[in-house]
Amino acid sequence: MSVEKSRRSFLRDAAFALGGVAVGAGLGYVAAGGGRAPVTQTVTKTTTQAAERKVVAGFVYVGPVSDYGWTHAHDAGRAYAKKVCPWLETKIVESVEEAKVQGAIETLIGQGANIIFTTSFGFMEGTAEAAQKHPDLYFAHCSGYKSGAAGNAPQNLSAYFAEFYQLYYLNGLAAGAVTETGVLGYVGAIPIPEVIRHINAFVLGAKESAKARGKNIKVYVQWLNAWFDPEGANKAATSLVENNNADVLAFTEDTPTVLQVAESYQKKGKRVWSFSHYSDMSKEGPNAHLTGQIVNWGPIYVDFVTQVYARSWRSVDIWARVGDYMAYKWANLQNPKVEYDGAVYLAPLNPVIPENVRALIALRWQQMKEMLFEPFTGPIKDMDGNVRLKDGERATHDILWNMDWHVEGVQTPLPK
Amino acid sequence: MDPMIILTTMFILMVQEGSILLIATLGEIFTERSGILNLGVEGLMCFGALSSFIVYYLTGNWVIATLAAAFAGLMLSLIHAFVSITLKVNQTVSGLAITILGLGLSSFIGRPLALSRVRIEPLESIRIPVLSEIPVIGPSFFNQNPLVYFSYVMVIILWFILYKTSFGLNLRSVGENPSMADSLGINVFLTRYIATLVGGALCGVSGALLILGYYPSWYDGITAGRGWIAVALVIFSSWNPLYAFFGAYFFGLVGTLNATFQSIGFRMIPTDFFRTLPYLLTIVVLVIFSSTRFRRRKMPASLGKPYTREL
Amino acid sequence: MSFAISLASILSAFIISGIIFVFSNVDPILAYYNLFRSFTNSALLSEAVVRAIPIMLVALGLTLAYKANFISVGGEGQIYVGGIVITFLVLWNAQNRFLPDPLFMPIAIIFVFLFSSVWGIIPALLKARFETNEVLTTLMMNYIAQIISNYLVIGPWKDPKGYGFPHSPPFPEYARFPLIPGTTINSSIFIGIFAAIAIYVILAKTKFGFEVKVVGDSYSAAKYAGISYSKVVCLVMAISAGLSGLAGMSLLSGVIGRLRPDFSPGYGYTGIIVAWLCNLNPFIIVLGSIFFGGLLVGGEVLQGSMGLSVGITDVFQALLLITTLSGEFFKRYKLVWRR
Repeated sequence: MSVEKSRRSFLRDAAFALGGVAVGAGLGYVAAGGGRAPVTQTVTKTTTQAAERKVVAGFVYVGPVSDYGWTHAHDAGRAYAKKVCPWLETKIVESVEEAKVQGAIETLIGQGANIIFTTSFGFMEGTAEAAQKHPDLYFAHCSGYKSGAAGNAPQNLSAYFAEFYQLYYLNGLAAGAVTETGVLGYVGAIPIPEVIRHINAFVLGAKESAKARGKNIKVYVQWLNAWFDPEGANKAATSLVENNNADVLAFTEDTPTVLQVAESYQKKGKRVWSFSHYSDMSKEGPNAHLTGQIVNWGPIYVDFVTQVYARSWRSVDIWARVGDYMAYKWANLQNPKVEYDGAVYLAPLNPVIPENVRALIALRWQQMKEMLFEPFTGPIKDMDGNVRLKDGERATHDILWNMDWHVEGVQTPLPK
Repeated sequence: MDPMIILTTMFILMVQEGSILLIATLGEIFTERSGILNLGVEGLMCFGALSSFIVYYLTGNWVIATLAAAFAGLMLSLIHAFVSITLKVNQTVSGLAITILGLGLSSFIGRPLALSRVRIEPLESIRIPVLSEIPVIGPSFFNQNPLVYFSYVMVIILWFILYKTSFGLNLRSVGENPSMADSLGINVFLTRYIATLVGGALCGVSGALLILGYYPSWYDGITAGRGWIAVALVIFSSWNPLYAFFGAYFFGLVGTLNATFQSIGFRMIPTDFFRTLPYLLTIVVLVIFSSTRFRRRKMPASLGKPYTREL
Repeated sequence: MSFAISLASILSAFIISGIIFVFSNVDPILAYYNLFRSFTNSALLSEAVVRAIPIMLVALGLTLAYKANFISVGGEGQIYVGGIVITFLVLWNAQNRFLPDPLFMPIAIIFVFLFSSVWGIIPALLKARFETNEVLTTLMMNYIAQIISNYLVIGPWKDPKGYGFPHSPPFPEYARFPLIPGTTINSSIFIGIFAAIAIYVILAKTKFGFEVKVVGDSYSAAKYAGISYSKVVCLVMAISAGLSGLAGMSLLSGVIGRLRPDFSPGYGYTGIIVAWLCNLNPFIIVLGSIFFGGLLVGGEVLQGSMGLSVGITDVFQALLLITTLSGEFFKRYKLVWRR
C-alpha cells in the first residue's frame, strides 16, 4: 500500500516540479531577451579563391567576458580587431584558472588558432612553455615580462601591456582641482609596483593642481589584497569618506563599486568624486564621475594579428602609453586638446573641473605624447622624506617596474 | 579623528552587509528547522539577485523586483526540495548542485546584461523619524532602504511563526522527529516542501537586497561567497531567528574591522587576518554550540536525514 | 538494471541541457560534439587527463571519508595546504640544500601527505569530541587555508626577482613531476592510480576498512561493536586530507611550477561531485575524473568554437549531478517494489 502511495505522491510531486521548472525556464528565456543571448560563430566561407588567407586568433581570458573590467576590456579589443580585419577569426576561452592555461592554449591550437593571446600575469609561464613547444605558432602575453625581445623567452612570444600611470597623473590633476577637503582616498587592489606607481602618479598630479589653489594634499590608501572584491571596495570607500574625510576616490578594483559609492554620496548631497577604470563608467556615476583611465586593446591586437597575416612577426615587449598606437603623435602645445585615440586615453571630463585645469590636463596630455613631460621627474621624495629622484632626474623603466615606496603626501605606509 | 564618526561608519557598513546576510540566514533557518539542509544558498542568492535586477530594470518597481527574486529562489529550491524530500537523496550533494546551477544559470542568462552595461538606480534610503536621530544606532539602523526594514520585520515574523503558531510547532517537530510527527497526523512531506520553498524565496530576496540596495550593476560573481557565510550563521545563531539578528550584525561588524583599522592607521595585525576572522569565529562558535550542553536543545535532530515512512 | 538507470540519468541531463541549448539558438548536436571532442583527439585527451589528476586524488580521499559517513567538503582547503607545504619545502631546500635532488620529490610527497593530514584531522577531532557539523568546519577551513596561502604568496614568500608580482620563486627542476614522454601528462598520475588501488584494498580487504563501513552505516552499531569512532574518523580524514594535499602538490609541481594566489580552480569541489557520481567506487573514480576532466576541456572547446558562455558548462555539470542523484532513488525504489 505504502509503495503504491509513495509512487502516486512521487508522480504528483514530479508533475509539480516539472511544471515549476518549465515556468522557470520560460521566465529565464524571456529574461535572456528571447534567447538572443550568445551568438554562434558559424564560419560562412565560399571558397572561390583558393588562396584566401585567414588568421585565427585565440584568446585566453582570466575572468568571464561579463566581468566589469579587465576581461571585458580585452574582449572589446578583440571585437575591435575582428571588425578592422575581415580575414580574422577569433576564438575565446574565458574564466581560465592559472592551473589550466596550458590546457586552454592547447584547446585553442587544436581548433586551428595560429596566434594565442593570454591576458593574465599568471599565464606567463604557461604561455612561455607553450611558445617553446609550438615554434611555428605565435604567442602574446599581457602584463608580464617574458618575451623574445626581452631575451628570456622564445622569439615567437611577445609581451604587451597598457600602462596607466600617466593617466593617473591626469586624474590627479582633476582631483586636486575639485577637492574641498584636500584629502583624497585610494582603494588599492594588491600592493605591487604597478598599483603603487599608479597611486604615486595620482598623488603627484593632485599635488600639482592643488598647489595652484594653495592647498595641501593628503592621500589615504586602503588595500583589499584582491583584484575583485566589491564588498571590500564598498567598505574601504565608505571608510575613506567618513573616517578620513576624503572627497575624491581613486581605485584599482575590477568593479564600479567605488564610483557607485561616490554617486550615492552625491545623491545625498555630499560632493564626492570618483573615476572610470578600464572602460567608460560614466553611466555608473552620472554626477560623481570626474574622468578616468580607459584602455583600448583594439589597436594592439590589430598590430599583432596583422604581423601574423603579413608574415612580418617580430617579438616585441610593448608597454603602450599615451601617444602609442595613435593616428597623429606630434604634440600640439599651442592649442592642446585631450584626444580619444591610442591604446590608453581619458574618460570624458566632468564639467565641474575648472576651465584652466582642463587646459592643463590637455597640455600635459599633449606633452606626454612625445615624452616632453614625465610625471616621475625629480625632485621627488618618498613619504619618509628620502630623495628618490634628484632634481631633473626622470624615472627609468626599472624604477617604475620595481617601485616599492610612496611619494610624499601619502599618509598610509605600505604594508610590511 | 572623531571616534563617534568611526563608530557610526562601522555601524552603517555593518547594517548593509549584515542585512544581506540576515535575510539569507533567516531563510536557511526556516528550511533547516524542518530537517532539510540546503547548501544551495549561494546559488539561490545569485539567481535571486539577477532576477530582481532584470525585473527592476524593466519595471522600475522594487516590490515586483523583490517578488521576482523570491520566485527565482523558490523555483531553484523546488529542485532541491524535490530531490531531497521526494527522492530522498544526499542533501549535501544536492545543495552543492543547486549552488553550481544557480551560479551557472545566472552567468549564462545575465551575460547580455553584463555586456551591455545595464545599470539601475539603487533603492533610496527612508529615514525613520525620531529613531534615526539616536546617535550611532539611528543613522545605521533607521536610515536604510525598505528591504532592510523588511529584514527586521522578518525576524519577528519568523520567530512568531516558529514559536507561537501551530504550524511552527509542526515544522519544528518534523525537523526533530519526523516519524513521530507523522504519527500525529502532520504531513511531513508538505511541511518540508513549504519550509524549503519559503527558505529559498528568502535567499532570493537577500540577493535582491544585495543588488538593488548596494551594488546596482550586474556582473559575474556578485554574491562573492556570502551564501556560505549565511549557512554558517545558521549554526552561529543556533537555529533561532532572534539570535540570527545578532549573529548577522555581529558578522557584519567583524567584516568592517579591516577597513576601519586601515583608516585609523592601526597596522599591528595583517589585513588577511581579518579576512579569516569570520571563518575562524564560525568554527569556534560551532564548537561551543555543538558541545553537548548546548546542542540538545538547538540543532534539529533530523537535519539532513531524509524521511521515509516505515512500511 | 542499475546500469540502465545510470545511463537514463545521464541521458536526461543531456536532454534538459539540450532544451536550454535550443532556447539559446545553439545546435545541441554540435554542442555535444564539441563538449566531447576531447575523447576523439589525443592532444585534448591528454589535457583531460592533466585536469583529472588532482580531481582524482581529492575524490579518492573523499571516498574514504564518505564511506565513514563523514561528509567532508574540505578538499579545496587541503589542496591549498598541500600547496603551502610543498612551497615551504622548495624554499627551505633552496636555502639549506639538505636533500640531494633525486631524493627531494619522494620525501616531499611524504611530508605533504603528513602535514595535510594534520589539517584534515582537525575537523575530525572536532566532530569526534564535540560533534560539530563537519560540512561547516571543513568548509570554513577551506577559506582559511586559501587566505593563508594567498597571504604567504603576496607577503613573505613573494619572489624577490618577480617585479613585485605575487608569486613564489619558480620551483627548480628537481621539484617538478616529470612529464610522461609525448604527452602533457605529469607523473603524479601514478600517485592517483596507486591511491585508487590503496583505497580499494583498505576498504575491501582490511579490518580498518570494515570498521570504516560499520561507522558509516551506524554510529551506534560501531559503538556496540567496540569500534572507536574518533580513531576511525581521524584516520579516515588524515588519509583523505593527505590525498587532497597531494592534489595541491600535483597542481604546483606538475602544472603551475610555483605558488600563485588562488591557484586551485575549485578542484576540491569538483572532487566531491566526482566522488558521488562514481558511487564511491575507487576504480570508477579514476575513469570518472578523466570523464570530468574531458568535460572541463570540452567546456573550453565549446566556448572557443561556439562562443558559448562559461556558465553553460556549470549548468550542465549541475544538471548531471542532479539527475544522477535522482537516479539513486530509482535504484532504491526498484528494491522496495520487488519485495
